[in-house]
Amino acid sequence: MIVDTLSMSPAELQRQTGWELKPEGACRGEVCVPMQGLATEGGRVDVADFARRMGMPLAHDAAHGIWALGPRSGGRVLESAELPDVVLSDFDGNSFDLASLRGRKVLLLAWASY
Amino acid sequence: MVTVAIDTDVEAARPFHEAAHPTHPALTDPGHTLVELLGFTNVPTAVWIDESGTIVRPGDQAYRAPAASPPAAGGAAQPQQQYVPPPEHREVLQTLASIIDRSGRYDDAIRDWAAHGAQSRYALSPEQVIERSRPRPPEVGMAAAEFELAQHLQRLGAGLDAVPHFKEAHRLDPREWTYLRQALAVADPAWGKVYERDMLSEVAAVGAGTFYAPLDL
Repeated sequence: MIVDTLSMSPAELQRQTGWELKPEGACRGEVCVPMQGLATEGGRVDVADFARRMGMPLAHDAAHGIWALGPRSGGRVLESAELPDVVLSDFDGNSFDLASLRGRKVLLLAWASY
Repeated sequence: MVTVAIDTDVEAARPFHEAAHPTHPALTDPGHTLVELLGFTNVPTAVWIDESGTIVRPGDQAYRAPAASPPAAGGAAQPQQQYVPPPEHREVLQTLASIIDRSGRYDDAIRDWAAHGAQSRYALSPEQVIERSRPRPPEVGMAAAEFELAQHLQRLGAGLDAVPHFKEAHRLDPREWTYLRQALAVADPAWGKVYERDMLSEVAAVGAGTFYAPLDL
């Protein structure tokens, strides 16, 4: 995900990343990652420290003042066989939630113009 | 069937979409979200998902040889122009041709799954699906972050600023072929030569065997 600041309130961090800071750590669904000693200042989270603890890489473009927070790394791309929550748009801009296909077998074909 | 165009520039995919007249959900993924979530390394790739939303095959190469060229507008058939690759590309092209499955085995496997569901021998267990998914060491994760920056800048109209990030994504993860293929597709000739090598030269450098994984049914 693209962020334009490395200092966020916990609420903003959750909104942007999906991870909620709780006493037991950063949690999403049933997964919690310990966050003892997470760097904060004035109640705002140091996103670089959060990323390091999560195993999420952080790429930076200084000219545009933006960072990309990459996926958690160190294991495999799939941590479960459950299709992740994905909402994409069709060619007319209408949203489509892949979860709406439950109940049918789905052959998902990824293609490109190149 | 659901198709997803992994195209940062949706308008580049639109002509193909319109020519196909799909009656199934035909979606777009300009951010290459599915690449990051599912880990396939090239397109076209097929993923099987069962009725409960569980992935039963995480990604198989789904290349099909192109059909014969349609007649040009006006009805006149275009003369067939044979592509003669330069010598340095011939071995790569031969290797790619040998990897692509032309037997129809994959179509048969899909039909078998459609008919037999979880009883199909081609439907993998959750453990097998996870095991088959791509390892993501730190450099592969960083490549994903660099690519996300690149496609974001490209979509903002800052394409030339995206180039260093496209290059870094490919450098960190040279086997993720969607990164380089996308980067070269959106490169503006007005920028001059911003990429050192063409696509086939890059494939030769990394290894043609990495471009499409042989079908593992």
